[in-house]
Amino acid sequence: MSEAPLRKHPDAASRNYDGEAFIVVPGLGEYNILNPIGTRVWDLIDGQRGISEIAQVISDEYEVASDLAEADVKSFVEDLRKHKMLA
Amino acid sequence: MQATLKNEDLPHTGGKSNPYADLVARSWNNAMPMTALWEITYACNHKCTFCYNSPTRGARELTTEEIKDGLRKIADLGCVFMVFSGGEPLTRPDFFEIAWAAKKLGFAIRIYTNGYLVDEIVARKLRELAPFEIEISFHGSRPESFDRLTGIPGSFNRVLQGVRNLRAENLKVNLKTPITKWNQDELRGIKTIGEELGCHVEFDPTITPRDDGDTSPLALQADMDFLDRLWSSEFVDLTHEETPVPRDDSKVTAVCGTGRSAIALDPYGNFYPCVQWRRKAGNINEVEDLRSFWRTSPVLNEVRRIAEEIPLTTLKDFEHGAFASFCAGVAEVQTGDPKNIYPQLRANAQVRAARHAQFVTIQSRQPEGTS
Repeated sequence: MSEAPLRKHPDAASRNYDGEAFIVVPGLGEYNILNPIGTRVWDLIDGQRGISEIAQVISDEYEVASDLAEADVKSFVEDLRKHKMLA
Repeated sequence: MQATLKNEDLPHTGGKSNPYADLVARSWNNAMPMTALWEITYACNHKCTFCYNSPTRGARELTTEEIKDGLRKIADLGCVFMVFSGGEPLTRPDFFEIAWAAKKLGFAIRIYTNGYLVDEIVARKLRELAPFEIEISFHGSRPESFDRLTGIPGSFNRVLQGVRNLRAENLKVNLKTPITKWNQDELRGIKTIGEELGCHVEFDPTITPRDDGDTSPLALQADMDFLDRLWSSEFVDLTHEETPVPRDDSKVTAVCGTGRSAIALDPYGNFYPCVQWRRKAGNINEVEDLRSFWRTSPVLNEVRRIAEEIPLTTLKDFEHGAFASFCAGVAEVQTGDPKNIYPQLRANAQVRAARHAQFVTIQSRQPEGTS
């Protein structure tokens, strides 16, 4: 079963500083700063990949078990949604 | 993986540690620019007597394509905030084309406007653009004072309607009031207007000379007696969010972020270490690799060095020096030396130190368990 691709909110502005994503979401008056792993996930959100595909990349790159990576990415994506950073 | 922040503590405030403050401190210390302020035109439909702009006679403002090209270079430099200022930026017929180009480059957009041109159509177009915030200069709570300061009869009512139009589109609007002799008794009324409209209101007691060194705007500064009152308990409800705290030199190496956290550009493409310090570093049209230029520019490196020296020299023995909001740009314009004490700095430091002392007193009187 294919899963829905993740998309960044079209109004979210971001830049990477020293390996950390700084994200500004208009309307909320809120800034968000992601740590390097969160930044990697953010960078992988490209409108093509879903949670599982992103988790697989994280699992490979950071050498963590697939199920743990998937649970972490899922939880992180929920955080992103809560803060209106995803479409 | 994430930290969420609403606090805009700057490193020099000595505010509580948080990831955003740490990021800004790194921006200052490592000359990692996050903000570009671009005065995209000096055309303006107001005639504010205290305006700091100094248009160059006969100079050509950049075309749409030149600005769009410049935006690409600034995005590559790493800035995330793009502030469109002026003059009045909305007087440019190509404003939305420029702003959309910035948005597509991933900038968070701030717009500094006088609000005069914001009818319902413009407000709707701004909502579609979704800027991070819009800052409107708001000069009084009455048409008489407001129109006197802008030099435009009817501007109070028209700007007020502009703010209403923006809020009707649910846009974040900040009202900013430069405090002058002509509006110093209306701050509470302005705050009330802001609250009724759902706007944050900020008061700025600093009037600066014009960019060309003309100090005539300083004649409109609020008087010292008023500034003393401004930081007293009388106005605590207007200023409590901005309690001054001493600069923490252990966290930052420079007195301010000039040449470090931000750049400023004028309508001709000249860029400067900051909006107040008009030492021309170059022209965006003539610099291909802005990232490399940023690191190697002699002008930028010089202002960075001076900003590091000021806490160790100028402010070291200056009374309340840790509280002084020192501006090397103002110092240079007014005294000819960016490291010199300038007249209004002493009052600035005094009132900020007094306000801090009052805050500390209030805190020490709080019963245990309250804040």
